[in-house]
Amino acid sequence: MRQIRNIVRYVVLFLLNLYVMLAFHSYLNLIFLVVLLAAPIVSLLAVWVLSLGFQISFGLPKEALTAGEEFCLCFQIENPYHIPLVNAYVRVKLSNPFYGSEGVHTWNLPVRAGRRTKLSYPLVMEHCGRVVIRADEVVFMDLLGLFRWKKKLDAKSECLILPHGNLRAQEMERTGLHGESEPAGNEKGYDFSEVSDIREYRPGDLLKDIHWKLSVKKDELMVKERIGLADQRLNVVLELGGDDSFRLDAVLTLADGITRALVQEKLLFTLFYYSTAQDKICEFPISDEAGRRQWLKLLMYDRADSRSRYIRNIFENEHPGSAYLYIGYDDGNAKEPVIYGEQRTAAVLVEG
Amino acid sequence: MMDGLYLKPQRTNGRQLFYHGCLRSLIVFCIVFGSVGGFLSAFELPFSMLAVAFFYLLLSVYASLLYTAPKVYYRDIGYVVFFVLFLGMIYLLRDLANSGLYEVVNAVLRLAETFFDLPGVREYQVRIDNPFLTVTVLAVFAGMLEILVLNIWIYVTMGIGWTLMISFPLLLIPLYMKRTPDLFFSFVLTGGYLSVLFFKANGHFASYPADNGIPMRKFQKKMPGYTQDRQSFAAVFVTAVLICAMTAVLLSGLTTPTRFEHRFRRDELRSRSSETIVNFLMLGFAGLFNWYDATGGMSGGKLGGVARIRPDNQVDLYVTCVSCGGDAVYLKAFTGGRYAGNEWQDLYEHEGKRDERDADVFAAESLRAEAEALKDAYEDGAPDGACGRMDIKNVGADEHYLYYPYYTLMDDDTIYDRYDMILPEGISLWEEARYRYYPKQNWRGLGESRPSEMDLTQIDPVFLDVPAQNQDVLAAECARIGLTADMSENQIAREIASYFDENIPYTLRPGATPQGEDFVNYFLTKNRRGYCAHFASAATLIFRQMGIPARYVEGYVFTEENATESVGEYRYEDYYDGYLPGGETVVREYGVTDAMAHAWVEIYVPDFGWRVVEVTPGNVDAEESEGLWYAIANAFNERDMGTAGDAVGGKLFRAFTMSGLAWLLYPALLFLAALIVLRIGQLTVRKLRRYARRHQKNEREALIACYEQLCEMERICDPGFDRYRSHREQLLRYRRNYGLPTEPKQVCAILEEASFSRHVLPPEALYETYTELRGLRKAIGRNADMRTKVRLLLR
Repeated sequence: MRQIRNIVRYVVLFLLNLYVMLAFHSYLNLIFLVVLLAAPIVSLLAVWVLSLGFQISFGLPKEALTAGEEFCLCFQIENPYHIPLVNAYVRVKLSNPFYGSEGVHTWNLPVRAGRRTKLSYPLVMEHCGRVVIRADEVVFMDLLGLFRWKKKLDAKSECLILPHGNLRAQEMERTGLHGESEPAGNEKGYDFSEVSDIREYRPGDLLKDIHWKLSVKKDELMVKERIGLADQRLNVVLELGGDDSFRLDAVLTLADGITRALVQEKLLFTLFYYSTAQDKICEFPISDEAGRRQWLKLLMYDRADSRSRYIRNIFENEHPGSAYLYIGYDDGNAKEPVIYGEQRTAAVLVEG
Repeated sequence: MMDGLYLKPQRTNGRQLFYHGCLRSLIVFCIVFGSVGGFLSAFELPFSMLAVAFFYLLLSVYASLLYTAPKVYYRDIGYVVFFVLFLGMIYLLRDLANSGLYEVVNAVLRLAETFFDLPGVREYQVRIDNPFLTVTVLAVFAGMLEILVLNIWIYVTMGIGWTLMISFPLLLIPLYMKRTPDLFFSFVLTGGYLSVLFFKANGHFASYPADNGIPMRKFQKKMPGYTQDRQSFAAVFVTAVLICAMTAVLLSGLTTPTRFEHRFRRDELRSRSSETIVNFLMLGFAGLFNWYDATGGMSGGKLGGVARIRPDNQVDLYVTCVSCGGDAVYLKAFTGGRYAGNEWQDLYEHEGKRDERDADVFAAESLRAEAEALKDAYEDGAPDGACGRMDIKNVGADEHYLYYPYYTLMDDDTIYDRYDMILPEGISLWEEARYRYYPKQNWRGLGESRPSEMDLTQIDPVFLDVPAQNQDVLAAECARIGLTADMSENQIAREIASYFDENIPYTLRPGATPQGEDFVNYFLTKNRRGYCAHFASAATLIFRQMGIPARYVEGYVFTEENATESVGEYRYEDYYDGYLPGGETVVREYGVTDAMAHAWVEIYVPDFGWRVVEVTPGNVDAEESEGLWYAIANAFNERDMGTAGDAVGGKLFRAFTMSGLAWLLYPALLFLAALIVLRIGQLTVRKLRRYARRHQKNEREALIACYEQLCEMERICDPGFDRYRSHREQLLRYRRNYGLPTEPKQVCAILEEASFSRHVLPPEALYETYTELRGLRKAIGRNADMRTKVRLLLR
């Protein structure tokens, strides 16, 4: 539409000028006329030349961020020619696969002459998940806005947005979780846990659990599956299903606060949650902060699900008699000690 | 940007804003400097380019930076400061500015005089005779205003249309008169225009400090944009200037203004419009609309459009002759033959070059035959024969005309042998003409014949011509006066004069004859008040209607009252010889003012020739002429006003009044109507587009559009609506305020899925949500107060 308006405006101006020139025999209008003829040619040539050497890339922060934290989307535009351009439109698809949100936007960028242009736009993501940005084409418009020139792009960038909850150490003590699990010795060689099985590597397994010798022999990563010396390892059951208007954010925030406190207390625990991507219950043993963050990152590659999976029931069926800490939506009927989160979420300790 | 992802407003970068403001100011500077400089250079007026450029640049930057102020009221304060300074400066430098203005006007008029071959235009007297200084000061003041206005448009619309309308009309004056601005100014101006085109094309002009760079306004789709990028802006500006510079240089090498002008064989514009332009130059705006002013007391037969006569009572002619006693002396100047609706055409019915026939026409006009007969009678010693001398000096009368007494015999070597000089050569300013005339003092036995008995074979039919459109009105008027075919010429003349005197008041403020109305018809049927031109015109046609040859005459009439105190050493014998009623008198000088300008009728009298008939009444329209309400009403509507005026003569002079500006009203009303129609059209299109979006086939998109429009409505009702950022918060708010939707949670879920996911949604769910939103839409409309309803309607 803008292009049509520009063309109409230009044609009207040209005809008007032509009329004035012919009517008044005006040399001044002859200059205008020649400029009006020359400008589109120059402009078209400029945009064509520019499109040959034009490079654009963009990037998001590589490190994981937390929800609500400001970050920058940086565009880097290279124009080797001494031709400026004010209108480079980049169609950008933004998505958060975790929640299935999408947005398509057109970014209007200036292209400075003969240099690299760096532009950064501050963004804030309120929900956790993954921010994925893809650009498939860039459209140049010449200075007069009369011609368009499209160029294909295949650029992608993403960053993780992790939940960040307040540390719930005091509440954990109040609920009696302290000492429920065996303290983990993090020092080197101080490992009292038993190896119960050896299996193939799965994403999320800790580095220290890799059986290096066997891995070399078998030519694939093998992992030692451990059980704690004290058989009582805390089970944390996380409800990711039944997402209602991003309430899952609150669940994850609460889970972050609690699991961080658990790691701080050096308690070993195993996380159970229903993975929509894998369509099954996943177990994730965590013994330190690195493992916990690895789990969070892995979780962001999964998907939130609006359907309720009733993870508690599944867990109770599969592990009858096991005690567990449930983190999910507060139905208001819990008799066990609870830690409350935002938006009617809670962590409930269920005795075995 | 998507659910939960927001683009954060950037902090305003003051330095960036400053540079950006400076760049815009450069565009304004280029256009104004090119326009004003181009105008002055085209007329070869001297001015200090550096000083003008410096002040323009300073003011452009100032005006431009006002828009980068963080608060709107800073800008307002800035404007107030500017106006105070402007007024102060213009007060202090008023003499310089006035003189500069007169220099410019004089230069334009001088060129117009040459270009249009005008018979002479008035030059304004400059107080300070230093054109370099005064024109520079004027250029600075004129540019200041142009910069201020243009800056607003550059910031608000960056529209090339407005830019041209503000800056280009000034250049049309020299362009019309085939004067080309200097190449430098042409280049600067073109650079400015091209920059406007560049910046308008991309829409970045619409950024303001409040935008913080993001998002851009004015784009149809909201898109994040880097709006304040001074580096690319500077490069674009340089590109525009380079394109223009190269073009200007190349073009100047290829052709020059003169060579370019020679390529055109025909000049349609000037050949069609030069008459109007000359009218405008000579008569002002009224000349464009057939509202003629008369300059120097004469109207030259132009009738319509004169709303009021306001003589300045300055002397136009000094006349030296023997004392006229109680009689009025008529000085003839213009003779009207054919009546053409709103003017009397002169007797010289030719176009282009004058020829020898004009000498014959002039002989008939100046009554040469009658004068020769009277001269013969005088030389033969007739008892009432006489010969007089009259010296007439033009000190302010229109130079187009000769002013001479009745029955003058002009010297052959001055007039008749120089037939090609008769017109438009009149008495130049400060020139004195000496006439010898033979007064007709005895009218006994003349004019007693009935029109039907007159031998009119020698009379030019034009003096009996009555236009078809006047015939009915004149016939009715003749009946009203009581004129019959058996009346003699003298009786008819008396009846007309008497009827006018008793029934139609004389006024100097008759009001202008409306456009398209016939002057005489309007006077006789509707207005029925007027000054000498009205009476003389009507009477001329009435005489013709009655079959008496008649013509309309303009000139001056003076009486003994106009005698000056001047005592010259004049001898009676040098000025008069022969019969004079009342015996020998003295020679006196008369100061004939513009108020003595007059129109009368000449009728043909068998056995003699043409004689004067006076029909203008002496009575005046005695309406209220004082008081505030009169003045106010008078300013807007002169037609119904009447006032005391000079019953002897009236100068056809049109003073400035609001009614004279009525021509401005029509374009203004048209413009207003066009704006309203445009706005209604715009609203209709907008509403149709909104309707189409709400009812599109894609139900999902329709739902999103419906919700989007709902939010727009709510934003109008409650400006604080934007605080609610998520669908959930917004829907809960709707529920609180309007009781709808009944299931906000469900509606929210559907809306969010529709907006941010690719899940396939059941059509029933979409329809239900859509129905809920429609109900909500109605509820918002119902609950809004009247003012908000209007705003909703006009959105």
